[in-house]
Amino acid sequence: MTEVSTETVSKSKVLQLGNQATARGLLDGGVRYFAAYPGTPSTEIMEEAIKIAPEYGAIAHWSTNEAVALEEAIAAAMSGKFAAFAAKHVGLNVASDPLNSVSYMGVPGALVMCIADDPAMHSSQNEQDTRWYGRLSHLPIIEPIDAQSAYDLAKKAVEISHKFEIPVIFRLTTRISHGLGPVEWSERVEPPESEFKKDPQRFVTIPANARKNKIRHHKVWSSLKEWVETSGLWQEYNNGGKIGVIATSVSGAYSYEAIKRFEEKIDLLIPFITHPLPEQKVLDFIKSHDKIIIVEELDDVLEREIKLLAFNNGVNVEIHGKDVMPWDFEFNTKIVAEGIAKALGKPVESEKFVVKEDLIIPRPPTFCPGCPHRATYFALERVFKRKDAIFSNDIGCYSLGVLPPFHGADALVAMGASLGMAPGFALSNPNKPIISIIGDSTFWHTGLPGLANAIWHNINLLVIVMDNEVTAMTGMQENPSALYLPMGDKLSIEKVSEAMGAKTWVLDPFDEKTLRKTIKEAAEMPGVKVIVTRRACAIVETHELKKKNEPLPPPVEVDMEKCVLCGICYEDMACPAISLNVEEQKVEVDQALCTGCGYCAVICPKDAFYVVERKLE
Amino acid sequence: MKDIQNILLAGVGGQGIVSLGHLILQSAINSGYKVKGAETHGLSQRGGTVVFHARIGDVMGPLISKGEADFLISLELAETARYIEYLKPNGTLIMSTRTIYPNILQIINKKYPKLEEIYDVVSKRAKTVYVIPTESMALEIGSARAENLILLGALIKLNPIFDYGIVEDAVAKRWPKAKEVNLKALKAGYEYLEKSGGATLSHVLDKKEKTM
Repeated sequence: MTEVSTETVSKSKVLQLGNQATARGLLDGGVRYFAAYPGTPSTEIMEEAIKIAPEYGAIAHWSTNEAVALEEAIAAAMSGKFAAFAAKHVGLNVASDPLNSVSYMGVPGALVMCIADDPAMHSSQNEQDTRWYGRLSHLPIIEPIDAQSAYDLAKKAVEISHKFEIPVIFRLTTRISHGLGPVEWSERVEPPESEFKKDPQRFVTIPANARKNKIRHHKVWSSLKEWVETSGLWQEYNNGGKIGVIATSVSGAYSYEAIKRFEEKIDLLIPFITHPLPEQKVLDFIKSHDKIIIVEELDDVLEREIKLLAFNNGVNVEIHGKDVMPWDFEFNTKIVAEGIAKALGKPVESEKFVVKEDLIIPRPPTFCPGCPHRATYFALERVFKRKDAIFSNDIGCYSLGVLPPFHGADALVAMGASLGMAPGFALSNPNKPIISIIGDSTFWHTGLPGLANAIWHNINLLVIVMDNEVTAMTGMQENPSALYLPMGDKLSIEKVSEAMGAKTWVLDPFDEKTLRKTIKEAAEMPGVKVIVTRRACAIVETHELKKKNEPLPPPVEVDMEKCVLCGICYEDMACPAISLNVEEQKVEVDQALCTGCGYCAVICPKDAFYVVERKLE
Repeated sequence: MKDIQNILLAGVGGQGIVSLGHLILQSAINSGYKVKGAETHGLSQRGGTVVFHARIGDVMGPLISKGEADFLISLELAETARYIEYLKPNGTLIMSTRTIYPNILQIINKKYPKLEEIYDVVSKRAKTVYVIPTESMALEIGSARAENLILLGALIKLNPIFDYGIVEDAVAKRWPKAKEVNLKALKAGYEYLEKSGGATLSHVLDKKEKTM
């Protein structure tokens, strides 16, 4: 049994995710206006903010997309408020237009933009490194290393933003955002009273003003750079060695553990502000060591900067970075230790224990039991029989339509791109049916301009809006047409699409026959047609029943006298709660997984499923 | 490495792995330890494989590296094979016999591995393997979703840094409404290791044959 260090922590500390600690830090730092669009791994920043906003009298809400959310926050910060914005890394692409303009003009209040990168792409389409945005937009970047530092530094970011009237990028990564640790909160900062003061020369970016703003921004940047040198926004572990590691973000935490695994004395410097870098601090550190190893996930942003710094100052020291550390995916303590070993010219032990591949089964994510998307894909599959059509898909739970047994995605590029790409597909492939698949939240996010464009160009297109009445993939957030979580009046997808000029149907995806018939008919009509398949997300349904203290529907039952093992339920529809017991040649329903939704009973050709009706009051 | 304990939890989305992880970390905090942890969110939660890293002691990073877990707690049989390489040689494995069959196997014509096959491999890595039939135990207790707490009960029995009362408290606080059934599950897991035969493969297999 290993001995565990008994260094105690205060029992008053709260166990928090980095995201939750960030939200608390922002509000304790004086943020009173916060807007965001959900995206893993950033989502829980806003979820927590919505929960705690009433304690502060703060505004915290979801917006329709990231550009809109940032624009809200910019206006609040222009009005002198302390404001914040949160998004995942690719969400900042959507908001990059306002980002690169607000950077020159700055804000009289405060503006902190929390951006979460996703090394290893746990829930993302790319590994873009947000730190480049700091260089692109000339804005400071602050990087916490764990939940406690996320709290402390989020608070600090608000302070810096207000002090220099500069928007600040607060950069997290998946393991900071979803890393847990005990967090201790400190005193709240009360923001000053404020309202909008007209200053068109600053806030109206016609070229003449933009030129002045750019010069103004250089001055701000110089004074910020000077301030950073003495800010103390770094952590140093000095063991008196000749080897030095410089690490940022979660790599700082891995490096702290990794350097202890070597006989050599290795020192560690973790800068918390990485743009502008505290140059004197870094110079002193590299000058006092013979060998420097830079540890950073994703790109070589810090490595380039430090090598340039060494060059400009005539420091001749051996600097390692991506020559010993991986370029791709996320790190851990062992990976960092292996990189350090390589830099020190030491052998790296390879793992000898390997599990035979056929024992490790694939378990890709799938539609949950009871998920309405599965029903819509089942109908699409039956109509289009896997070939013919081109499926232009989008970002949401329904992206999983790419996985077997469905064939519902031939392309998936970006939020809203299912509709944006439609004319490109339709006009390049005039003989094939084109199907755009988009969800309710993505429809409002960036679907609208693409739909308008498709209708305007009068292409032949079938649009399926898989409306599960919630932003589900990121964990049940509100959107303009969400069912159970309304903020204000609910908007109507079908009214919008009809008003734009598309023939529109609203159907229950569990009404398999009508859906199939309508898809067939609509696909043959000219122009843009929209079928909204509407049924609430199964998870939301379950939560609602639990909230109301109502019993959950019991699992379905199978009558093996009737069942002919045709495979429609467990293979073609592939409900995770239904499986074939090969040895006993019978269909089994998993008691813990089945939600009792009854879709299997709808599609079973032999009526072999029994659904126990939910008791309603 | 001496003053750190790493506990890796593995299973399938929906099995209550994140809740289990929180209980472990909260109980450790309540016992005065420093902790760090990492959750799985987003896309990977949709019926896919889920893993939770719980780290106790002088820790700073949230992740357990391969070959460095003191304990692997696996809530699903096939997931044990996927994550066994995270266990230290000589680590302790607490595994459920619960199987969650992904339909994709039928489609790609691949077999779900047998309990004996998995046991054979994992016992080459683990110093001690505890095999627990959580599915039947949970149904007996009256909550199909309490398998995670059965395994937590077993962990407390084996791991001296946890105090039964402190964990009980944490469970009761987390689910005030379902307190009774959850505490029952916790106790069942704790006691299972004491019973005759213990949590061994042959014990589970014997039982299986009798019920058939």
